[in-house]
Amino acid sequence: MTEVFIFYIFAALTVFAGLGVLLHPNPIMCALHLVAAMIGIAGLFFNLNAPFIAAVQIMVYAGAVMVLFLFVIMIFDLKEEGRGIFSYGALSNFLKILFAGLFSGLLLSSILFKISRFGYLIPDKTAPQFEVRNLAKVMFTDYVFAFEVLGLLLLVIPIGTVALSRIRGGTHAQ
Amino acid sequence: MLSSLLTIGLGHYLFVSGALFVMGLLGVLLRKNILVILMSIELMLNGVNLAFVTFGYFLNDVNGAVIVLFVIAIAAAEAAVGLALIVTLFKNFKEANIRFFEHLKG
Repeated sequence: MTEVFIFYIFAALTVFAGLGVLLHPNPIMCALHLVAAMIGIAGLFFNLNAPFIAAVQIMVYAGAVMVLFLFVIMIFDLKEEGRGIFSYGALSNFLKILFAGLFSGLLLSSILFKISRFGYLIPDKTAPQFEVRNLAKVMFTDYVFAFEVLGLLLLVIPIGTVALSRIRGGTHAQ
Repeated sequence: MLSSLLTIGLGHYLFVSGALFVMGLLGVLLRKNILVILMSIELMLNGVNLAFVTFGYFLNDVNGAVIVLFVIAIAAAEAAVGLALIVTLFKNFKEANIRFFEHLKG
């Protein structure tokens, strides 16, 4: 019964915080809503018997990534946007919302199909399938090549980031 | 009806995941501020992560969680590169509105 309550609390937190990211005019409040959404998703991971993933989610997203976002927002001193937060163009916005609606209908129908096929599944709550030991076994055997490539990526990314943010020039140089 | 609300199954998590993805999609399509667009992309990635862990849990498969770890690492790297690009754009244009970035030359 507690897991039902935990699910509804964190699902409501996640969905409302997501709406806050979509609708709030101030970028700093958008970032804080995004932190709330990350924490909600971490709670849902915890409810799904994956506490390690939940901890990684909070550390990486609510910690590292959001610090980067807030840092950039504060460096450039972004104020609230005055004239509307959405891009212009009534027709293009109508088309965007129309196609997003069509896509969500597609998503909903595929979810309903999955429920009709896999809805009977009852997870084994006693099996610690997302334990760190099991994760590490799979990650360092089946996915070891992907893991090495990921290490290479994380080596290249900081160099690229520093190089990019030091670029001056192009044709718009002042 | 009530029993389907009180026993949390596959569908409940998938609905939350789908709602997150669609909200992120609308944010990317509709918002003007380029930083909020990057945040909406993070929201979409999180919706997908939730679907991965949900299926991993209900099918008793550890692969779902491992893929989520990879996705989190790549999303953090992507956010760093995206923010570096945005810093460069701010320095050149002094503006966060995506409409002003239509003519990028070098």
